[in-house]
Amino acid sequence: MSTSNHIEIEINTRPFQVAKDSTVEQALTEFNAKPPYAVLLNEQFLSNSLYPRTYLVEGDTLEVISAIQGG
Amino acid sequence: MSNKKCDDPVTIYGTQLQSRLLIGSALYPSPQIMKNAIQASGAQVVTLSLSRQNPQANGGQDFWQLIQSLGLHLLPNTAGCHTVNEAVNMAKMSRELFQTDWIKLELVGDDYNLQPDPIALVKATEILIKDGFKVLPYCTDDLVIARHLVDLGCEVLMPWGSPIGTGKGLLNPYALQSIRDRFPEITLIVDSGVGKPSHATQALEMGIDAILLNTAVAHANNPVLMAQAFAKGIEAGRDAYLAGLMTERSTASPSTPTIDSPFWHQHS
Repeated sequence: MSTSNHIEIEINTRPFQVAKDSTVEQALTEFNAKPPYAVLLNEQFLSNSLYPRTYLVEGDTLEVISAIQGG
Repeated sequence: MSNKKCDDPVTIYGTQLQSRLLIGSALYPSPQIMKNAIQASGAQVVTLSLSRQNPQANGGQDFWQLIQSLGLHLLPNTAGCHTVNEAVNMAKMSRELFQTDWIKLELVGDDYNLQPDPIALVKATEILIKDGFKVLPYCTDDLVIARHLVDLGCEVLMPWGSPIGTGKGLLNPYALQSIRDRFPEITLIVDSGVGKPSHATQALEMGIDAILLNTAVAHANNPVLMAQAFAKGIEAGRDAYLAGLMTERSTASPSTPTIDSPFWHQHS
């Protein structure tokens, strides 16, 4: 639930609170994302060059994606 | 006539590879067995994928470091994608994360046999090629879909032998041969369904350029030994193709000279 200073977003399908006016980069740090990773913001690819200047709003969804085994 | 095979690489978008086996990184009993099997295969390309990160599980860093230690070309896939948008996004994430513009483009059209969706595949291929990707599309053995993909600029096609993980081999050799004959300049890699080394040999004998494998090696009782067996099978098939197969006949033809009489009646 959002408060006056925080907003609620979703990271990897789970609710996550970040401070208002947080960037994607800040949210990833708080999430403790382990590099290397790539990101979807609201189901669209977000280039890593945009993390520091993309601001999150209530209800945004982030997917933090990393390498796994594949065939 | 020389019996020495000269340099005979397979080419993937300008990159020349000596090994005609591409190998997956999934389903092995352990990370160490995966590493040993991949090395034993001699493959120079390994496939991998993407998934949501769980920071509590170390974010997949152990796997990533293991893959990097192999020093191979990386071929990320878009496994599990059902829509063009999903596949395009996954390709872009893979390019950024793995620093490669190669993408094994998979778009599932049916969950029962994981058959590629040919229409979505063509649409996604068009978008990705325009965006600079080198697309390796996982497709069925449909000649017309192959034509569309080649027309869009694909230099590599990866038709199935049979559905993923079935091990049924080449269900429609005629269709694969048709693609081979129609597109002699395209690198053809049979991807999926190859269950045993003889399947791989059969494909290479008919002029298929390479094989992409995973389950048949990873699910063997001894994945390292099976990786070696596939490498030999692929080499045998390629050598046979280069040597030129005999023409099949419907009637018997004696291989032993029949001049005059049987050998036990011949006098030296």
